[in-house]
Amino acid sequence: MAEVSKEERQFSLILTLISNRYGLLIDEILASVPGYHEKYNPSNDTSLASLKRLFERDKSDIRDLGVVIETIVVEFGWNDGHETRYRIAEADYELPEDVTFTPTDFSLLRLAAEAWRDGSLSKDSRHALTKLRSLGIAANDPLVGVAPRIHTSNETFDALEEALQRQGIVHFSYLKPGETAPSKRTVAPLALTNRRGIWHMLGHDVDVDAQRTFLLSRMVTTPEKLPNRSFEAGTTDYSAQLESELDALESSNEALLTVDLGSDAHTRLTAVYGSLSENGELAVRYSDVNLLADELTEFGDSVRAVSPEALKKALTDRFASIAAAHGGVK
Amino acid sequence: MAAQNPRAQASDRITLLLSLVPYLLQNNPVSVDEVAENFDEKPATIRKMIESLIVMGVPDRAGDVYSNQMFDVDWDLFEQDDIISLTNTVGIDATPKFSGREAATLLAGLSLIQQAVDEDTKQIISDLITKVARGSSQGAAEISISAPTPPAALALVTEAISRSVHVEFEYSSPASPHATRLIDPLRVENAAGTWYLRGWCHTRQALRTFRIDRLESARIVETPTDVDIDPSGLPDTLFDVSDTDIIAVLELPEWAKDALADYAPREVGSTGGKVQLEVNFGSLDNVFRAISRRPGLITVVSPQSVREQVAVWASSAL
Repeated sequence: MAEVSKEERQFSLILTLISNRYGLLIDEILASVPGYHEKYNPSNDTSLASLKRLFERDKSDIRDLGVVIETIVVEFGWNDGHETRYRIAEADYELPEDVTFTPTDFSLLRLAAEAWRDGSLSKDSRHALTKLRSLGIAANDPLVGVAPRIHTSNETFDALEEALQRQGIVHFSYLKPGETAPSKRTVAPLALTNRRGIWHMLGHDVDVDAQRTFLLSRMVTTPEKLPNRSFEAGTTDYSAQLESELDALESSNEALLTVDLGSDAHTRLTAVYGSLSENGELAVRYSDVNLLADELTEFGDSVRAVSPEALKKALTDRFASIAAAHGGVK
Repeated sequence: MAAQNPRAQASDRITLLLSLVPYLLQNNPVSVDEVAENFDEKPATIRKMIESLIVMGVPDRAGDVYSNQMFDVDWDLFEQDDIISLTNTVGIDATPKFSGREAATLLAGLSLIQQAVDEDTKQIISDLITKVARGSSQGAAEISISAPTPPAALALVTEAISRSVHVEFEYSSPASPHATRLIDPLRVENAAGTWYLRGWCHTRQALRTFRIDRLESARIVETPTDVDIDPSGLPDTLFDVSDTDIIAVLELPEWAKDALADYAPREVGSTGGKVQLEVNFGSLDNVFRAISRRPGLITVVSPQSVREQVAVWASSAL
């Protein structure tokens, strides 16, 4: 008989655990489910241990597909005896019956899924779409005319995202704006948020035992997972926390700029930040002075900072380092 | 590509199997072609899925899988007429919930779309966000797109697209001098945080891409659009680099090279942790913009004349 493929084994495992509502013992699973069954030999400890490891990997793979295998520990009430059973509860598995989608909903969800064209999460958005398609909804394409793209195609994002899923701890070198040498950081990622195209990470910095926000673009090395370390993150909605922190910073920080009338800077900055005040200044809200300076650098001398001082200095530093790196002016 | 990764392939196929069963139960019997169209797969892929499905089932304690505990189809109908008629199913009958990552991808995509649509559609999306979150078996992964203020003209442009009418605006950019443009708007796109309009430009008689934050005095022109272009057929690349004036070599630290990924760079060398990338630019302003992505970290190596102009440009802002 041909070897049972991985997908056949995992699919059979799902069917079996859904069909046995009281759950199965690990030995019952290994003895019966195709893919384990053929290799199951209860008298060989080594092969049994490797089958159990295979089951743990399958459990984790299946979880990544959205199917949660529940572990039930049953106490016997004497001699501290207990047994562990595994099952997939229908309520955890099935899309709730009142979660239904109209053709317009489906079209919007398809657009949302298609935003992830590249990077490791494109696989997950594709799977979400496959599940939605099982509902057999005919798309009615309203003329929404929007095609967002979310770019994450880099190793830094992938490494952090993986650690986020596994509650892992990573270490990386980080170049703080304004500093010349990177420093080593050890962080448990808590949330990743993209704001104006820039990826921010909220993390628990293990060395200082406090939360910190990092920019992915300033990680000098690809984050590496520390072996055998994990972080219990709790149940806070960290994305919402990070977003509201950034919102709060934006509403409390205001910079004043002067902008050359009719310049490209004038057109683009007023389109996003509103019009100039009576004395010709533009008020700009920002979460981080260095990010704002990065955003304004491309406009060169057509934009000048009036306040705060930190922004003036950040811009001067940038232009000075660009000029120096290009041989200065003779 | 995901197709090269055997792990991705196995997860793709399991997801398709889990999704196929509830669809077939709701649409029984159904032709292979119809299933293929619904799932956007090739008919051959669907046939293969059915062939693997009907050998799977729920085993008994001894590991034997009896025929009444397996999936089955009307084999004659399948072989002769290419029609799937399920005659027995086991275990699963409903659409599976989303994983935390799957839910997060949908939610992030929805919040981006929400920035660009009218009030009614914004409300539909708010309701959808709640539904998707409830449809996840693990909550949503902590990945999000926060919605900053979009450029003022975005709402007007999407309104023109949804009503199939023209839009007109004043436009100037480093590569094109100021002009009034009349456009058949086809689609708005968001790339790396910036909104773009793609459309047929009547003024230039060509497909063009515009930064929406550069549109001035944008207004709707109440004439129906008349260019027959399927927006879904637009190429993925936003800009045409055929009008190249400058070919420059830029140097930056290896770790920062993603900063220029969307300029279609060609790696021409690497030394001591730094890479040299050759990039085409339409104008000198675009060179300034590129090096401003990481001020001080990106340096123009050649041509020397561009290097000098960068130094002059930066010094003038000091």
